[in-house]
Amino acid sequence: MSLRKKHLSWLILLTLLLLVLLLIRNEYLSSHTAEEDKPINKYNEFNSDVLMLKEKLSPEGFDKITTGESLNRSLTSFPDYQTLDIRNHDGVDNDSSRPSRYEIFYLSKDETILVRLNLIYAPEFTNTKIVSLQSFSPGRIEFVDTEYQNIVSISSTSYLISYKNGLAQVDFWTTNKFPSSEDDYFHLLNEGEEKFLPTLQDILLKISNEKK
Amino acid sequence: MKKNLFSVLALSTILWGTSFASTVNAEEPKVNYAPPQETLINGVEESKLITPFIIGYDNPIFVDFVPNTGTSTINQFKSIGSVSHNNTRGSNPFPITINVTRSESVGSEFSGNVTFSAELKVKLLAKAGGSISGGYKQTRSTNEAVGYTFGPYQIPGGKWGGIRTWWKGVSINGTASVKYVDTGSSSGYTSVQSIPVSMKVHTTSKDIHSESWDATYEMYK
Repeated sequence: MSLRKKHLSWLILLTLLLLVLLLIRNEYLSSHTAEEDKPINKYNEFNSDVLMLKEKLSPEGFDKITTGESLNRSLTSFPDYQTLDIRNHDGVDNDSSRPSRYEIFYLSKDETILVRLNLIYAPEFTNTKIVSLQSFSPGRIEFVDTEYQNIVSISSTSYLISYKNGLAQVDFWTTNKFPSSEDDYFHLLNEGEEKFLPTLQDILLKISNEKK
Repeated sequence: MKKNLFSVLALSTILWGTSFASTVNAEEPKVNYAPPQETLINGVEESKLITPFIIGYDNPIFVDFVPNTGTSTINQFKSIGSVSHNNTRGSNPFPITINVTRSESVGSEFSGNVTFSAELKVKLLAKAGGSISGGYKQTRSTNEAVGYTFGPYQIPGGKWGGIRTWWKGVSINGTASVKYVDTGSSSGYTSVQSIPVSMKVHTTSKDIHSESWDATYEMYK
């Protein structure tokens, strides 16, 4: 009986020891992965990816019309009445030296399509995926009364694409150079998208390490 | 309905881009310069760049350069960087600053009816800059502006504003004299040709122009 008791106490001691070892190991592992996942590292990674993208993205048939160099930084103050967010502007963690997005404009060589590419910091994303794809055009505003169908004068298509640490919002707009004789707005936009998106997609996949 | 109208107006304003009454302020944001750095072209110091004589019109040999009298300063020569802050919805002033953590390599501009080889550019710059202290150079190397800060500048509530910064440049016109290798001629060269040349170049000293601006958003004007 006493022998059994002795065994039991040894067993309990051993289990406790194992438990402690397991806790130490977990603590060690989490401290190491935390280094990589630290928000500031993710933000720096996002920034260097934006710089790389800005340098490499030159789709055939489009000119980059954003002026200036890589440092351009834009921020927006939130309205005083908003209570959605504790920050008062859109800088990351309310830090005005850390913009949450970079805006780059491209114009088709015939100046009929303007592309606005917004690269938005979103550390929760890891994979590339089309989150949404939406369009509107004169006479083609979905589920809107007929009498309001011609209220817009431009056509637009908007892609929202997730990638590692970010969201790419790609807006294609017809400009005022759009030929007035043309009534197939989407034909032109679709052609522009076909030239623009493949090069963007290659870079985004590379950033997410899904394609070498 | 009102919302639709709003987005139409918003989009049109972005597309036309003409509805801004922008004010450039006389006050230049404060600039803090970082220590200078050597400019390298392909890893070689710019002043030590030598190319061998090669036959052909792509390889002009520098003989002389006579600049026209008077040069003009180009304030907005090459952009270093900009920050903007949309404070149209804010009621308090918002301070902005630029801290340069990365800058690009930016080159000079040469035009004229001659091939501007690396050697020719260096010699034109040396001759053009002979009379001024410090002289001119072809390229601002990558990161030359790193460590600079601009500002702070206060963007008033209700306005959209920012700071824009440029390297200053100098515009020089003149006449270049060049010759070419000619194995058929007794001298080994062609006769000297005079070619009008225009250059927009960097000064060796770091000269920066910065502007702050703010604008009222007149979307519904």
